[in-house]
Amino acid sequence: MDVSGDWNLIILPRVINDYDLDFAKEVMSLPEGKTMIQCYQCSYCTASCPVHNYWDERYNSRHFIHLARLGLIDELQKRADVMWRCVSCHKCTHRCPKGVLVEEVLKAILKTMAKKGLIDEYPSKKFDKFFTESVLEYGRIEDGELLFGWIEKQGYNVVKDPILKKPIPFLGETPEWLKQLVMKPIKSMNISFLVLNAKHMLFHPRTKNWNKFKQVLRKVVQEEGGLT
Amino acid sequence: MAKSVLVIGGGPAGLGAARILGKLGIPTILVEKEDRLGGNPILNHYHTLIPRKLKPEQVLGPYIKEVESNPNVQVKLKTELTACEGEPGSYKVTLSNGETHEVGAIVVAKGFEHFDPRRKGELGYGLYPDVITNLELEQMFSREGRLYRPSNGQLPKRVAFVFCVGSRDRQLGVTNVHCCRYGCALSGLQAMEIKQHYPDVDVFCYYMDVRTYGTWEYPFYWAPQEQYGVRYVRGRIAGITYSPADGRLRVKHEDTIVQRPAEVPMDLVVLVLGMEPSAGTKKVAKILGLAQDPDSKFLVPSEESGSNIISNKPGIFIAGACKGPIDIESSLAEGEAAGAEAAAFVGAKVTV
Amino acid sequence: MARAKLESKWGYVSPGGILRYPEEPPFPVKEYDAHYDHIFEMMEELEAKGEILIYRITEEHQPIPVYTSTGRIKLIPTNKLWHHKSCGQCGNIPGYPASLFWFMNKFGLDYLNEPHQTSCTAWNYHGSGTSNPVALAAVWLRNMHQAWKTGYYPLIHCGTSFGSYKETREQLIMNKELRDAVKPILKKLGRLTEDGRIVIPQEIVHYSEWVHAMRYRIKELYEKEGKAKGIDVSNVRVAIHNACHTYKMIADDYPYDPEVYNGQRPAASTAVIKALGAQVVDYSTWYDCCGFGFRHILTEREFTRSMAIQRKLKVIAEEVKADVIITHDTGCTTTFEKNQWIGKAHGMYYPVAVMSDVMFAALACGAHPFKVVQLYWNCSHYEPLLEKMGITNWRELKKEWEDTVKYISELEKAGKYDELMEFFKEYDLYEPYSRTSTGKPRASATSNMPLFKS
Repeated sequence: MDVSGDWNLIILPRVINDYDLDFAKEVMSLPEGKTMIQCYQCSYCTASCPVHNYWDERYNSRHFIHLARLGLIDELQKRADVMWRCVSCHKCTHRCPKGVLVEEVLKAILKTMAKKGLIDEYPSKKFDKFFTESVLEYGRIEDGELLFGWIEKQGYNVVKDPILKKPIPFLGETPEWLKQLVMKPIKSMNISFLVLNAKHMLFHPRTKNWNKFKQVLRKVVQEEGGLT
Repeated sequence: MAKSVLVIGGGPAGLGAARILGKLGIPTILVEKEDRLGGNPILNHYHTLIPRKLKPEQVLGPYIKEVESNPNVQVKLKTELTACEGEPGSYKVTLSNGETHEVGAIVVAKGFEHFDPRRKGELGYGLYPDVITNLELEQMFSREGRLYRPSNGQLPKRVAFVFCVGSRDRQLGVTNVHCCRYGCALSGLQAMEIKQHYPDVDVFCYYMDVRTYGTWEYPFYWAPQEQYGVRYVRGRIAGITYSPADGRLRVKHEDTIVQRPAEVPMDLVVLVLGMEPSAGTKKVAKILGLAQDPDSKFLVPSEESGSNIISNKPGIFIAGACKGPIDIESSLAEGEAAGAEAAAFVGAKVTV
Repeated sequence: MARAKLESKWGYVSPGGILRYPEEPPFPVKEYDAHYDHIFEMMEELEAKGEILIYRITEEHQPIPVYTSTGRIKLIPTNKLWHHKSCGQCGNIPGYPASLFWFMNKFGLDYLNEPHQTSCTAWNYHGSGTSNPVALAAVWLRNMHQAWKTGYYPLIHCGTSFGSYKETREQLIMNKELRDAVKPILKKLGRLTEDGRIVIPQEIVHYSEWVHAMRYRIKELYEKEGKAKGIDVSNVRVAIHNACHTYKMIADDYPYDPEVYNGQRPAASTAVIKALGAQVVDYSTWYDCCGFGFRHILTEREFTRSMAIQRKLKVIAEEVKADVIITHDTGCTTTFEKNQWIGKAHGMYYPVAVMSDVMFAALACGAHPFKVVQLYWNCSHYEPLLEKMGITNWRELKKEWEDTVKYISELEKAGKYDELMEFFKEYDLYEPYSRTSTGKPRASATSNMPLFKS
């Protein structure tokens, strides 16, 4: 029996060797991040947080604030997979005894991390983008197209119409949950609503004078950094 | 004529007692071991006092002036109590200058001493010039009016305050298990002073608990954090070493919130010193037979009295830091209370 | 209180003593009455009650006083010593005890190097958590009784034995249950005094304390003999590693000195290096342990080597560029030594010589690097250190040693044991089995086959 341990292993120290204080400066330069400085680590926020309580103990707003203030980036990154899970209930901000805008501060931390390339985008943000594109293009959203377009983005093999290259609902691969979800109410639905929906999918009604406005809107949103 | 009162110690508590006794027209002898009045804040050149952020001269100056100019008070400098005989109401005291006096009551205000941090070898005080005490930081401000690293005279980029040095520590024996009471608040104040003058210096406070009790919470804990960005890290500093590689100190601790060990580079480390009863307090306790805490050796009040200035000996009153860590304004108040008690004890008929 | 008592008892400064301390220790001490020192008062009380017998240090032992961290004066016996050996030392670093014997021979001191002793079994205790206070106490008291019987005062070579004995002493003095449990065992072994008392030595003394107490005499020897051989250590950069079990187990009972870090870090080893005039360098991981870890060196070596390489060797090599790491315990010396080359495989090779304080001191005083200090056992690069110390002829010395080995093995092969014994008498070392507590040569299967046979 080999009792010499793992013979080819070197254990690296887990000591924190320094702080990255610029990180906190950057967070606090954002208007929503300013109150981070007030936190005294009582954990009133975490105790109130539904995500921490019912989902994942690693989602801990108080801890994130501590890590961000000292700039312990590697520790923040260890939690990158849970950091997006805020359900926006605002209990934390509502209850903080020190007046920290906890939820807003966490958004500022995330924003700073994303900007520095320290965290991946949360998957749902892809949906946000798709949604935004749809609005920017037509000035409104169109339920059927949004749904099946999104399904296509998710990697399902949808069937598209040959002219407009839009996915045709339910013809191609469709998630089982969606079929069941849609088919039940559809049976009792007014036929004219379905026809209207199909028409909208084909002809894409737009908001009046949208072509002019959309250029302005796109430019503004772009300047605001909303399209990154 | 009313019997006189002996006040031992010319620090804040002693000054408070002598001032009120003088005002009440009671013949008072104030003995002080050093060559001037004022005690630690004056003799050790404190810079700014908590909690009211006044200078020692502003606070104690008027007291000293009043005591020195009151004809009822005889100030005897460079003098100590050497012996005491007799009964309550007529104590025969012998002083180190050979004088003997008969006094009706005694106020003991012999004060405290700063902890000697060399007794915590792992903190490197005396080994590394950039490890200083909070007293030395006060003196750096008050005598030189600037902040610098003693090793090279340059402005530090980072300053760390190490809380509880010589406090709450059984490793030093049973004598130092008490809290110093002033350390958290003074550190907050010193950190703010640093940030006011040098906004680019990063200041860190390493603590176990922050005990800025009562009304001190906002001015000495919240304000340093919220207004000046002083960073508080929970974890007691377990060692301070020096790295010749970059000429900076390393403060070793566990960040108990992250639950990871850390050795963070610092340019200047300030040790927040605990309080111990002064040698004079221990000596006077022996001469007068005053009760002492068996562990810390601070004086303890009478068990029968609810007031903490009444000693176990009738006619002897204790005030200030000789009976435990205390701030300066409370010391003054306790001295005044003890003075008034002493006046009542000697049966003075007071007319104001 | 305790201090006054001890001083009145030992109210003299030993006649051969070199250190003369002032009334008050010139460095800040821990609160004198608050710590461990009352153990010594309790020992006196137990002796007065007839429970124990204190094996006293007498003039014959030529004690030298040193300060402990509480300002207590500890007497270090320097003569007539009973050598309590270390398990790992004789096997792994034989030059370690040999250097100590060499010094004692040089100073003309009397000692007893006897085989009638056992392991302290503390490795077992620290490595696996087995064993228990009763067993540890029984083993310690058995060994101390043996020393007492011989009239030689125990000097403990191993840091862990030293620390464990200090701790066991405290438990024994503080707990009647333990004394009651251990007495019947000792009675069976015949290890109580005639009137049924436990024998406890007045002081538990580590060899590094002996080196510390003798440092000025070692310095004299260095100046007289070492320098005459062209040896000069003034340029040698020395990183000190203090062993955990010597100074942190019962921390109050180990030497401190104002000349060593203002009395804020343990003095032994550092003081002798300073006395010799070498440069002691401070480094940022001074307080870290070596990683030996008892169990770890056996079954979790990845921890041991990672700790030794990254927390100590790397820092010492890169940060302060030391020429040698000086230790005073078996485990640390072994750990630093044997783990260096492993780092090569990981691109973490930080070569630096490793040896104990007494080996370095012996080298400085002109001891033969191979015959006495036995550096051929080292796997760290000691050669650059020897060059820097001025022992530039180490190649010839090595050749000389190799010839000696050849000569010995030839004699041995030819069965010329008498000649061999004669050779060892002239040889500049101690004579291993010459004297035992019974005064007779050791009667065992190997008594006529000294060294190298097995």
